[in-house]
Amino acid sequence: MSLSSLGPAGLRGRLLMTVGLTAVLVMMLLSWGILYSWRLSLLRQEEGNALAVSRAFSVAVIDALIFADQDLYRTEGFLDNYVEMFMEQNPRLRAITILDPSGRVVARSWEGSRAPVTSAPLDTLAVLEQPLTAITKGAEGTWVLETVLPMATGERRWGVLVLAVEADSIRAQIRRTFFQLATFSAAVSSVMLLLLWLLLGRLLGSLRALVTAMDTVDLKTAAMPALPARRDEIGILYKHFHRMQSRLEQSRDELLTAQHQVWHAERLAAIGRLASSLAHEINNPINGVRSCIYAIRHDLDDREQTLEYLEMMDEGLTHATAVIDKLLGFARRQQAAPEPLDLNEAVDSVHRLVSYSADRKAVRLTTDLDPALPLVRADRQLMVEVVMNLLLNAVDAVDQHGTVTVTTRARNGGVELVVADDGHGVATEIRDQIFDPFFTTKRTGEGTGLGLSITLGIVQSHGGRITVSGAPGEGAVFTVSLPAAAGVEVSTT
Amino acid sequence: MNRTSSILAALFAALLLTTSALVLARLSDISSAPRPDRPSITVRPPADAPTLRIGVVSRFAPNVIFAVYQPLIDHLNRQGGHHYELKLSGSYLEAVEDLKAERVAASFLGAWIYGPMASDPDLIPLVAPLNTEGVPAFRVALVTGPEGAVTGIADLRGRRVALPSPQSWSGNWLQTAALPAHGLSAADLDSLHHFDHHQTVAREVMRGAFDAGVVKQTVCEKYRDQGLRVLEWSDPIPGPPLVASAATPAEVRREIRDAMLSIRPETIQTRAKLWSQEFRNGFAAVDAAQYRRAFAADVDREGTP
Repeated sequence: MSLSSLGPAGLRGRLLMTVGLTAVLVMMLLSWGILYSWRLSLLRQEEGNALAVSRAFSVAVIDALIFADQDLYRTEGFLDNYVEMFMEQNPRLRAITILDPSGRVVARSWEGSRAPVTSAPLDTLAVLEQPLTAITKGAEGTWVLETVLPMATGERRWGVLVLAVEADSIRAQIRRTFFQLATFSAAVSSVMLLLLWLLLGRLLGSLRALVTAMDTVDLKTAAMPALPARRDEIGILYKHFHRMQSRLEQSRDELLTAQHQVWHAERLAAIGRLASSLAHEINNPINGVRSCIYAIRHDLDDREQTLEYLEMMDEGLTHATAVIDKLLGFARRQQAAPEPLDLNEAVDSVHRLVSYSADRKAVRLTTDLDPALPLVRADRQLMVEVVMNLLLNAVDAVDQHGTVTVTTRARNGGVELVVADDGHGVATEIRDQIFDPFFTTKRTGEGTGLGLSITLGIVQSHGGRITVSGAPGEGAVFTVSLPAAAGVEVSTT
Repeated sequence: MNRTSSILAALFAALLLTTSALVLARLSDISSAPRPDRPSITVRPPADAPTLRIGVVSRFAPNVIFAVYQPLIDHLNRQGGHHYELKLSGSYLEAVEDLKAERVAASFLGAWIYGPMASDPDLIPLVAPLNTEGVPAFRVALVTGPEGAVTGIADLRGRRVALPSPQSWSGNWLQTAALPAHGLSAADLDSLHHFDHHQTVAREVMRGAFDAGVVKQTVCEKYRDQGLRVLEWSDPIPGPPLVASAATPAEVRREIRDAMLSIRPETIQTRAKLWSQEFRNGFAAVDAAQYRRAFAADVDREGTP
């Protein structure tokens, strides 16, 4: 599963769904709250303004009413003129009604001929003791802000002034502001979500790079593609990943070292298993040399005999040196290096060493090597060790005069090495265990139990496999399959 | 985006749109119930009692006159057994005529108007307002502006002087008492101009249109903080009296006088805003002799009503 395939269940989807949408909700609620508060403030301000206009107009009205009360002027024309002028000067005014203290209409604008928007009976308005404001929707669907202002001086009542101011413009202003705020909120939300999307994309891109790097780590070398330097938490993650990579390399090196030490130890163990037969091979010529020396001393003047014995001594020492060279060649610790290898040559060199042991046990050790065997890409020393382990096990498994056959052949585009013996075979119940480390059927001191385990490790590290077959009591057949050299990548781990 | 997230996004968008529509509907409904703007004004309905009128000279706009005198009338209505109303008169002469014709039970007259008529038995002074010292007396002052160069009455020669109404003592004190006391007369001034209101005089002097002016004590105090400087005070004279007609029944005169005398600063404290500065200190009883003494020299004044 990749990061991009997670969809809404992924980090980006979940963060967008929770953080993004929550932020949008909060912003919308906040916008609406501010809008409500502003609307209330606007309406209160409009009511206050309407009352202020009413009070300003009431000064002239009260003067006129006082004049009328004092019989100084005729009120009717006076107030009508006031009302008409005031309406002309204030285009937002829709109606003016002036009542006397008994509720009788003293003057009104032409529009004021209809009932007040408050629909209250005039006599109830006349006895009001405090200014009132109200916003209502008229019959024509228009909105009107109405003020009812009792006019009094001290405790002397002059009447009531009712002003109606259009409120459609206030409503339109509120609606316009709502749409502006909604547009603004939507734009800000979109930008915020986009930024969140991009930010998360960048974050996830870094994680994706890390995942890709983890997926492409070369397990042979622990090498990984370089990650860009960052100063954020992702950068810290990268650093820790690099440290883990370093520890992995170190562990791998230590493991390789230990593995080589184990292989070497097993090789030495194999030498121990060859020791008696090799000693015999070396002792025989040495004894021959000693006999020749004895004969030469006994008759120093027999020059012809001395030359003959010296020839024999040279042959014996040459043979001993050859045995020792073979042993040293097997025991020498070399740097593992895969290379094109002729498996037949490895079988040959092991066959020469093991043949001493086989001869001592009167085991017939034969080879059937395919001359056209393809090369394999392998470490020679490791392959020698594989063949050595299998041959020594086979020689150990057969009785005197038994037979061990080593065969090489090309098979299925690869190479097979078959080591067959006619010994007791491998019991079916232990076939799954014989490749486990420290599993052995030999007596204590005769084996480490690591031979087949190491053999399996080497074969697998070269991309091959090893199988065991043969019925119990009828001998065992170990078959090693290795890929041919062309296009084969050999692993040393 | 898979199906679940698409459904969630669609639900969220639908919720947002629905809520927005509801909010818009709520915002668009701006109707409001009738809402009182301020605490109730206690308005006493007209008493079912005989109506008597108190005269006052309408030298100001009716609004202003009622704002000053209606609280006194309200007080009278609360105290007495009659219902009182203000009666505006176009002039002091008309006010006196209303008194004598019994169109009003009493009338507020200026000291300058009543003084020369203090010996008239048909006019009975009842009360006069107290000043801030608690005395029913009245003083005016010669004032100058913040940049004024005048130093006193003796320095008025060749100066421009602003005065209040010629029908008031304030508008006549300088020519009749102050200048002669310093060996000067109105002819020694550069100019002499009368305004209707004391406030107008104070503002004209402060802005430098006149070198000096005469205003009453309350106006001096009002504009002192703005740079109006008092040069000299007049001697006190009795305050502007509330004068009743001899034809007004004695119990009515007593009712009016007692009601006026019951006004104390502490009793009107809660209504201080409604009371004029002139009447906030209450009233004291006065008699004609005080005015006769103060205006003895003006008894034969030409043009007095």
